[in-house]
Amino acid sequence: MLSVVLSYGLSGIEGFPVRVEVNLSRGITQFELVGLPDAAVKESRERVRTALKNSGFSFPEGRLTVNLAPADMKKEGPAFDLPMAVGILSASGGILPEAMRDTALLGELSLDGSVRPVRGVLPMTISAREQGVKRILVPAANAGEVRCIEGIDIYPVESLRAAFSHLRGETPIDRLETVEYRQLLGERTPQVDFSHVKGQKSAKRALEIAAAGGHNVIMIGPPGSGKTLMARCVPTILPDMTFEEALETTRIHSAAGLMDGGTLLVERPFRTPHHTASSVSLIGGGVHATPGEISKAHNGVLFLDELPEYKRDVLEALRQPMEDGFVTITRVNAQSTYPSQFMLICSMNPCPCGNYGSRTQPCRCSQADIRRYLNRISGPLLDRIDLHIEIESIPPERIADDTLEESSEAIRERVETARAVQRRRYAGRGIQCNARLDARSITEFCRMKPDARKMLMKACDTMKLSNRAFTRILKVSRTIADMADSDMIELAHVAEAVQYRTLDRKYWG
Amino acid sequence: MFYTDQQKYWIWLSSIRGVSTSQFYQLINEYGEPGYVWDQLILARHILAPAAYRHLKEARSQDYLDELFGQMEESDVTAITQPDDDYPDRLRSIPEAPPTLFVRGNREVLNAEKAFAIVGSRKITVDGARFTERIAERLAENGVCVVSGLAFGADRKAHEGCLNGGSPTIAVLASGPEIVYPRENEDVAARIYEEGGALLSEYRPGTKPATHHFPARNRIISGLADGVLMTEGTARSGAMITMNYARVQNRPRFAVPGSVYAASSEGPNQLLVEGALPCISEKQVFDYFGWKRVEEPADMAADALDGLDETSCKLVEILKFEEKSFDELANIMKISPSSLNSLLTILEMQGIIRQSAGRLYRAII
Repeated sequence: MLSVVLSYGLSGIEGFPVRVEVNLSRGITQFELVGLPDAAVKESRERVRTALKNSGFSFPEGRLTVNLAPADMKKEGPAFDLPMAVGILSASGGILPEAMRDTALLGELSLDGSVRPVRGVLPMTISAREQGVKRILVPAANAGEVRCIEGIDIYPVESLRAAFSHLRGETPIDRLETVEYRQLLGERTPQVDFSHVKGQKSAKRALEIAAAGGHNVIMIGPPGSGKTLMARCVPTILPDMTFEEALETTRIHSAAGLMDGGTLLVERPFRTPHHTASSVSLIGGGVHATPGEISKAHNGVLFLDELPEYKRDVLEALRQPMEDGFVTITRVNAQSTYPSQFMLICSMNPCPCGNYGSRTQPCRCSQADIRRYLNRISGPLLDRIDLHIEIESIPPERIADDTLEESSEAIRERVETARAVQRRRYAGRGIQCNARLDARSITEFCRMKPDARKMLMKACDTMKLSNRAFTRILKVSRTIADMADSDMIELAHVAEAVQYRTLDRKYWG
Repeated sequence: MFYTDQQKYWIWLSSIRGVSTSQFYQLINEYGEPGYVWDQLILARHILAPAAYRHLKEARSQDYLDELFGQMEESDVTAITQPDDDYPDRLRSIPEAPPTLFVRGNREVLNAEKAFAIVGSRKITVDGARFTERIAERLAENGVCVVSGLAFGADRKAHEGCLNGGSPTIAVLASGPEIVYPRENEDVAARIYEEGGALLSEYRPGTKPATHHFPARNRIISGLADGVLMTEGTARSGAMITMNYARVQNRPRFAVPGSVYAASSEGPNQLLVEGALPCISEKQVFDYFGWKRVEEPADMAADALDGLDETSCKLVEILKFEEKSFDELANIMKISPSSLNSLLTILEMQGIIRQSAGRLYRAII
């Protein structure tokens, strides 16, 4: 007897339908699995057989053939365990085919028959909904990530036994209640807050500008001055993600198996790959073209601590995705496109020993050492960074000091206002924020008052700034003007922006 | 440039790698004149180390001579030998005077009527840079030629100040006179060459800088000058070697006093204890030598400050005697980071304050 169960496979961050066909015929008892399964799928046989037995079912006698269609696409992962087991039960007459109409199943089986979480439940559920599937059974542990999905009935399953009773209509499982995204937003509790950062007035102001205009940032400061803490705080002052953004980001995290039972992401991701990271781990790749750190940081922050320590080719590989906002990864087995729009925050010491520019600690590095250290950062990458922020080391008495610092929420409100100004201005032009302005739109949107222009010219002349620095300063002053809700860029805005080009200065190396 | 045979052999012998200055003069004593060395190498064997002797032997060819003089011609380098009339008198009198000076640029400047050396550490403070540049400029405005070593920091500032003051300056290099080390100073080197100064070395064109060249060239810096000033540096700074040569060569030594606890003033302070002359402006230098100087132009500081508003004045006042960081300023001034940022830029553009690494600010007028 033949039975068909619908399931979903994962290709990048898209789900594709997989028909799990089970045929039971007379013959010597054996279990054949076809349809391009990978190792984990092949092992399904043992898990399914044992799980069935341990759930109190008898394994059917006869020749059992399982086909995963379409047969020309590689299937990976253990998500087909549950559909296979259900298919076998159906093929041996336990479940009626009608019960499984318009229903998809996902889940790995444990030997005791319980259903274990799998990765990619969110993208697969979204794809199922788009393709008109009405019901989906997902592992209970994955229920969190699909809570906000409407338009498809989701049933969290604890075990094979529960799925069996549900499909037979004996003890139906309760449909998952959908939760409003707004409600999730209200429930979040961020781990860090800018009120934890003492002092650092200049750095905070600069990061606020960066958040308001979506600018990439490099922080330069001695070890222990709080660069990492401040970078961690940046997601808390970025505008709240829209539902679409949250969905897109969670999709990537789900496909990458990072969910760990969590709900839809309500906080912007903060990814901090170690400096020994390979370009594959950063960009994405591997046998199955899995997403890299830049995609995991989509809509959030990618933090590269100790920038000069990263391998040069790794940093070079960052350039293209940063420009495009997505990355396409092609491998023998798979080709996937992942979005990768992130805010880049880098940090570095001012010199190899870290004390250059400090008044208390002597710097042991020679000019040549410092120059070599700085030269390790690729010029083209530096070109994509609008703000250079110098971080002062904070004396211990200031850290202990408990004057009240401004909270992330207060800063975020100002950031949201500045973003709203930009959204209005760039409506219908496909530009999200000032950082994304290209050469032509800069001349259109970054209009300066005459005295501001004069000032910028003079600054370029005396500080020997390049053309590139010129446009960076313009973009940043545009953001500063937006924060002050000023249509034209004024002298004070340019004057402030000039302060954020530290690395262009000649005293540096 | 025309050289007599005598000069040619002299230049040839002094160009050979591994022959030290004292060995050069020993050879001259032994042979009488450098042409005889060319004719009969064998005597040199007792004087030179085996490697140097081998270099000498290899260099005894027309090809070597063609290459040497060709290279000099090509990089616009001329040579002054020690017996020449225009060999600088000040230098002739020092122990181990370099046998040959390879000069790129204006060789007459070596005999400038007034020459003064300014040295200091490669890493200097904002204040050190400011003073070094300032005094070099004031000396130059009064017709003094400033001598230094074209390194980072104090040397660079001394050359720049001198050029800004309108006098040619002399840079003594530890490499061939056409090789600028560090490369970042090529802009200054070009200015020195174009504005009537001289880049000078005892090493033949094509010689790469080597560690042991640096202390050796310091004797030329002090030797070319009437007096030597050290502005900043630790007690182990290379500038202290120059000051030591200055003592041996009987040049008056000047030092800029600094805080007892400042590492950057360790060297000068130590010199002062040893009896060097304190120097807090160019006045001490002019008074010592009895040189005439024009009066300092009217106080420019007051003019620049005239146009400033109250907040700016307060800021400049705070930064006048002490370096402050951005956060410190924000706390003292009690103004928002954004307005402080733009205020600082405007003042910096007007040349009233200067920023250095670590977001430290200092008034410079």
